[in-house]
Amino acid sequence: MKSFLRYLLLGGLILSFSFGKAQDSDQPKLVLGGYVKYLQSNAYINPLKALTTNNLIHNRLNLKWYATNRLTFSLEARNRIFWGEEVKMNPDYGELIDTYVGLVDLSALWVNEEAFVMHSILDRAYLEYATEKWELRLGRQRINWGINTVWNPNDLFNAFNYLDFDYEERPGSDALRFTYYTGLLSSLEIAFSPSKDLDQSVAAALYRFNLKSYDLQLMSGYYRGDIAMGGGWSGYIGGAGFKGEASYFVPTEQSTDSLNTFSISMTADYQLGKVYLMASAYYGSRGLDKIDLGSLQTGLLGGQLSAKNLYPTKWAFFTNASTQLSPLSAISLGLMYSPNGHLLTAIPTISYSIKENWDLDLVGQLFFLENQSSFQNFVDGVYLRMKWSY
Amino acid sequence: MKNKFIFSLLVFLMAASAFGQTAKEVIHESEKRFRGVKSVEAEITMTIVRPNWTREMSMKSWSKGTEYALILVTSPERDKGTTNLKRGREVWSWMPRIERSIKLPPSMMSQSWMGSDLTNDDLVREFSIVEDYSHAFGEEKVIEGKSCWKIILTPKEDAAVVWGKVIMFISKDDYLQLRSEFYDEEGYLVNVMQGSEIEERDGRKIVTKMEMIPVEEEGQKTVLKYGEMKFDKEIPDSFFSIQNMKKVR
Repeated sequence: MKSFLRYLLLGGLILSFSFGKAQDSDQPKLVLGGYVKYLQSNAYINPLKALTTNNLIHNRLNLKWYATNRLTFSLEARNRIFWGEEVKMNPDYGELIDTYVGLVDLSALWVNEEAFVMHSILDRAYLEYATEKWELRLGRQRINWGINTVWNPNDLFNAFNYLDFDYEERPGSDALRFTYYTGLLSSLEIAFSPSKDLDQSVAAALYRFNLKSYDLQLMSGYYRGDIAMGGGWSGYIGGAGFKGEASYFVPTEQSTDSLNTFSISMTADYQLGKVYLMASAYYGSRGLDKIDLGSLQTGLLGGQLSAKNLYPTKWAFFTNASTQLSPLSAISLGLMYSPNGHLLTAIPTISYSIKENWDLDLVGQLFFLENQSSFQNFVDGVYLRMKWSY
Repeated sequence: MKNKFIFSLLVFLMAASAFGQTAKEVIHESEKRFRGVKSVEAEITMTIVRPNWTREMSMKSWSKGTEYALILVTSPERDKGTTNLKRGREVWSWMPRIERSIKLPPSMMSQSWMGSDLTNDDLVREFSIVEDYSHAFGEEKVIEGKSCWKIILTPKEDAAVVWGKVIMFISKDDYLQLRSEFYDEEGYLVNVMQGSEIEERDGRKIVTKMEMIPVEEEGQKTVLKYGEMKFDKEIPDSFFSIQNMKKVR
């Protein structure tokens, strides 16, 4: 696996440097891009009065080969180097980040030392054949069926944790997907993502269409032992955007689950002068009625998310206000709140463009929770990120 | 202040067609030459200039009438591949990194586009607000060695426009908009738009460089430079589709 990966990465690099921008046609056949990020994290655990720091250098390499008009090959690698106290404190850090639920193992844990870990993964590797009317995609790919920004009950293939802000591309799924464009604004997608344990596979269809300025979608399929059905919308009320999505899961004999699951999320957004306002609400029937410190560790930070369980509590609300201070800088404040245990997460961010293709972000994640009838700030994360895009 | 700046940019870029007799013909002809009648395809580089820094953004844009538009960001690397699609009143944004199209709320249209001095509206909506002005010829003037008509635009009553007055100078030989002056209600000059670098694009002589200069803000301007352009090419409606928003290069 290691040598395979090395071959792919090196091969990609060499190919793209030799042919990349030197094509005589105006559209290059090979396109290489990506970024290098440095993330410095600081976590302050209040009850222990302990500060833990960590460092991450993160390189992303995106390679697209337009083999013919119709055939495209995509390869995207995520290479990460971790070091620092957090790595040192977790003896299994390397193994922990090297988990991938996909069908094929396309990752390599190059170095796994006490306080130093190097890891690579191909999170996109697919072939696409596209005609005027349809597309067929095979391989590791992102199948993004969600509509909302924070909670996506319709996103059967890649549920994600909003707080994991440093991975905006999100993992891919090993899947076969067929898209048929039934109209200019409508399409039918059928996707199958097999699992080693076939019962744990996902196979579903999504139909998107547009009705009276509303984008609508209907979804149905088999989801890891359950029958899933759902739908979503995206439209306007006056000047405000209004969107949402809901899913319902019914277990079959193959399911490890015995309960029906319902989750729904709605979002409204509005531009008020220079300030962009967004509010989201989430309900998931599998969430906890009351969260405490113990269950939070496994639920929110442990990251056991799935389309059936997108947040550790039953109810959650999110509001965000952001504004551009100048063409170079922006600030935002997000608040995520759950009444089930009074869990509050405050997410202030500042971003600044140092120069062309150089960005600096300062992100805070401050967690508050009701504990023994008092409201406590129990952990604060502060992240400084520098990013160079190429 | 910023709105006015954007507006003046708009009028310059997108001034539409409904004027009375002769001045109307002048403006109309000028617009037709620069904006095309049916469609325009253009490569544009925008530079935001401030006293201490500059930022550049390049894009390709396709528009058909006032209904359809598609804009593709080609640089900087960070935003490369992002597209905006407009069909009627609906606008979507496609972000290749997360592989998702997001529908923008109408209220966002007045907001800065990707941190620039242009709004979403500037890019995807044809402004026809010039209809709200009445116009008159003023004294002719020579600009960049070219004899120009001076056209004074004053807002009609009840018109919800930002400017107290707009003065445009249009060259007599090629109908080029060489200079526009934007005045506020008190009659103070706020923004100046200068057109220069007259070159041929797709067989038409046009100003390929436009500079919007806020008079009060020293060292500040936004420059639009036009590269390749194609006028009135047949673009099928299907070009402006969700599918093409993801595919266009």
